[in-house]
Amino acid sequence: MYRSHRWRIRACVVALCAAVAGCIGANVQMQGDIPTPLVNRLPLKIGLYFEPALVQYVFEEKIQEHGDWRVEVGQMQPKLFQKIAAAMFVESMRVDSISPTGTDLDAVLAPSIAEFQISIPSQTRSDFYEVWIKYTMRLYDIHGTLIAQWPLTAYGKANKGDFGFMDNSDRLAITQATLTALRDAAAFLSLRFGTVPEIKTWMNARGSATTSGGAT
Amino acid sequence: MTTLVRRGAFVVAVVGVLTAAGCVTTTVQEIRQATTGIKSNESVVVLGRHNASADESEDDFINCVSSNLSGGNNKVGVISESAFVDAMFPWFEPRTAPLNTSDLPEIVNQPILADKLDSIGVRYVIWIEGNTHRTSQGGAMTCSVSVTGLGCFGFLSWENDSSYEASIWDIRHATSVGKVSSDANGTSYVPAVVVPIPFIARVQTGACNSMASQLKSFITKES
Repeated sequence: MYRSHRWRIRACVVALCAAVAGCIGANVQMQGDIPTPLVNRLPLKIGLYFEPALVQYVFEEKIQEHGDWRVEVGQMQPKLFQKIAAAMFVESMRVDSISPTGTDLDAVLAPSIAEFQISIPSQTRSDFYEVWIKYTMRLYDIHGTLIAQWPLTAYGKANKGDFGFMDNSDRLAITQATLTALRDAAAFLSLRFGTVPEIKTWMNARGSATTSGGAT
Repeated sequence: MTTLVRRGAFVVAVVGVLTAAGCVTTTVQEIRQATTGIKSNESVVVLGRHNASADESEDDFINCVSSNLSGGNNKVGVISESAFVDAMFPWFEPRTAPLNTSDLPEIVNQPILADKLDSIGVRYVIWIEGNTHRTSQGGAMTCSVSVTGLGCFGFLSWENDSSYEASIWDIRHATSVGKVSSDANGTSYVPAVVVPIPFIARVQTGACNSMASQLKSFITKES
């Protein structure tokens, strides 16, 4: 009888350890949607080129004593940029190269992720999960000549207090922080595209600056 | 059996008395800068500041204030934070939201944004900053498991402090109309003799209720 109780207690301890171990780290497949930006459309026909490295982008990091962290963010990129472009430009379409043929596009926009970083509360001794995404944005003319290249830095954070003590709180918080960072990228691209000096010069030269960019 | 019922009733009574004693002290202050008033077809939105330098408020506090404003006496129309921020995307994101009323004309003077504000009917934007944190804690408790059962012994206590400030903007006139602050503090206790009995001071809820009540009065009072 006594031996039976000890066995049960050991089993409980093993189960508890397994549960705790399961809490360490997070595996996130980014999904979700961003709203349509409320900006004035630029009089441009833009192609969107997504390099394979962008669409397949996966962030992976082993954080000492906090497990393996993996964020699959690539599959959401086409959806994100197509939605922004549809609101920013009079016409936009996905293309399969930076110099597409048989189209009447004005230029091709090609985003890429240069850097992706996360931090968790135990690293920073704060209450926040944080995500930084550094994009490199490139705009090409239809012959594949670079018009402009500029960095687009996005930041998102999520308060750990908003996710309680559930065993999936790490995953939920990193998902929220990443989604906030993606919204931040969308916000700054849609508001600042027309203010990038090279783009401003290019638009002035072709007489398409009558509507002054996403932000008026 | 009767003894057990009596003991149960006694424990419930003690818990009730201690809970009723409150342990939460709340202070509310108001600064009025302009006249207010709201029509039946107008609404307010309660937003948390999420920029890097802000003293970021908890989501449940924002939700609590929104919920209290939209219920009870003198209730006002409230649009949720997420619905408003999505509708106005990307103008009220953490790094793009206006920090001062001087930034508002850039938004309200754009036809595309003015039309959207009209369609959703928002008259007042209430920005909330502040949070609740633990200021002190003490005591100790030990719990043990044995073949005869589970038991805890000890005493824990902690003090929480809430401090929130709401800035109210009249978005139609692009002006700040006033501020309401709500501060609350309280001490929670958990004595344990075999069974821990928590007496939780609901400090954040106290601050929320006081702030929402004052905000209702502030907005609806046409003075």
